[in-house]
Amino acid sequence: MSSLSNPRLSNPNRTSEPQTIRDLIGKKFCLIVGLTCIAGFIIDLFVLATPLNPFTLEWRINVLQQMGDRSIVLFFGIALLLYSIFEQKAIKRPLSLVCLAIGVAFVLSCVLIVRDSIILQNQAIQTISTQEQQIQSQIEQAQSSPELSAQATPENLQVVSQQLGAQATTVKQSTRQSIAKAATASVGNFLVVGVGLIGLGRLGLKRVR
Amino acid sequence: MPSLQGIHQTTSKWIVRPLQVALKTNHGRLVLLGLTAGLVYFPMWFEYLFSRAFRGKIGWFLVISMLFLAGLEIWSKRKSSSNNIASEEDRLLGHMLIISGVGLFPFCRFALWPQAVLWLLILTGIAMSTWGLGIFSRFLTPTFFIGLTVYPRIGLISRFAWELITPPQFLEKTMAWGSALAMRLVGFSAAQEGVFITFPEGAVEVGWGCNGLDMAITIAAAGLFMGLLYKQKRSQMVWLIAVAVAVTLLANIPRLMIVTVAHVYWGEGWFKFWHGFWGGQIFSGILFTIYYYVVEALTSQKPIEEKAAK
Repeated sequence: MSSLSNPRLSNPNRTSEPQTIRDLIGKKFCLIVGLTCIAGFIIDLFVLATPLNPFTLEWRINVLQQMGDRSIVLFFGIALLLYSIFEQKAIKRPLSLVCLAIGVAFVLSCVLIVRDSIILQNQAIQTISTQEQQIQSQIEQAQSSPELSAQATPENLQVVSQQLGAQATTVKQSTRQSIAKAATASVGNFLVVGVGLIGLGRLGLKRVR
Repeated sequence: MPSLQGIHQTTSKWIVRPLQVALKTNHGRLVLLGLTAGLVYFPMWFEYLFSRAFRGKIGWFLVISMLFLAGLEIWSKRKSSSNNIASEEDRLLGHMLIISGVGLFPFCRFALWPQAVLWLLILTGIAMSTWGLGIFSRFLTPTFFIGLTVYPRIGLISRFAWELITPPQFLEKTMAWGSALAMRLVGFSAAQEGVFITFPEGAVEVGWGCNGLDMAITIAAAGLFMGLLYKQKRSQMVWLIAVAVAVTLLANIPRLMIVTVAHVYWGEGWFKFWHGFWGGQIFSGILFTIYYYVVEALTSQKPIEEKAAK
């Protein structure tokens, strides 16, 4: 087989170049898609987070949950951006450091999500308990009142009271479960994307040996 | 009798000199900073386990066993880890974790769990910045076990995970159903209504503590530890764990029957006895005995099966 049969091999200067035209176009593609993803995420975040109100529970839970849902877009964007500039050492290092910092921040924000969810859970359960107590006290009043109707015997009221208690327990448990599910999803998103970003940053900082 | 000079020499060898060495480099200083946070967290962690152990809970048994097994493996491979040094990026990442963990630590003292999370991060940072990321894959079992013991309330984690994946009160209802069925078989007129076992004379509620899950996890973990200590095959460990869960959940039904009968027919004193500390001890004693004999039967059966297969 002669080297002349392959035009690419016939020109040693072209093959020794690290970046072919196709590579360059690929990197440009990645740059555009990456920047678009990141910009999309930032716009979403801006719309979600305004008006800023970081000291209220509802705002924090809402923003963090939505952010968690969209975080994969950010991850994708940063990954493509990093790939497109991987040969440019001057930009690669700071971008990798930013990646690492965002990743660590994402992992740390899980603490805040769990804390907020526990507070929300307690508030919701407190509300259910208060409502239950109100109805229970009404039943007690009915039991002690002299004008009981034929159906509302003390025994019947006792059964109703027990059923109410059981129902309240079920509602509390399902409320707890739904809040826990939402929190787990958010924590999962932040944790996975955070670790992914840390991985990207680590890769970007690696010295080529 | 150890002299004052001897004590001085020991402290100098084990505490003062490593401290002096550590304080010479940035990495050493950061590791010390991280360890300080651990030192603040440790009393709370220890106090929780200690107080629980005295109230008859067995979470401390799991924690101690996991730490023991982790320590055993680290000790047996200690030579291979000492000559690994973290790469530049691992060191940077580890330092980031330590600094952010320590920085947030003062704001997270409102409960035990956030401190546990931050301490886990700091610990990860220390290991990463000292030996590199590869340490975690080389010491997979210790990483897993130490990670689990950082937060001492194992029962809470298992409850959270269980309630997340099952319908509300699933196991309690199943236990009430099983107990009612078993009681009808022995001649009581019992019925199941949700989490209640009802009789003409009264009713008993099957609560979270009575569903047998904590006990099942403990016995399953004991099976796993035994399997790891005696270097059993994977398939055999799965067997040990599955049998533990099955035996515990089945044995929970007679226990519920006794507690129910005690509550409905025998009176408050007997109910307290069977539902409380002594009943629990008797139950775990019987349970471990049953488990022992079942495992014995299973392991003695294995060679016969293998022979038959050959």
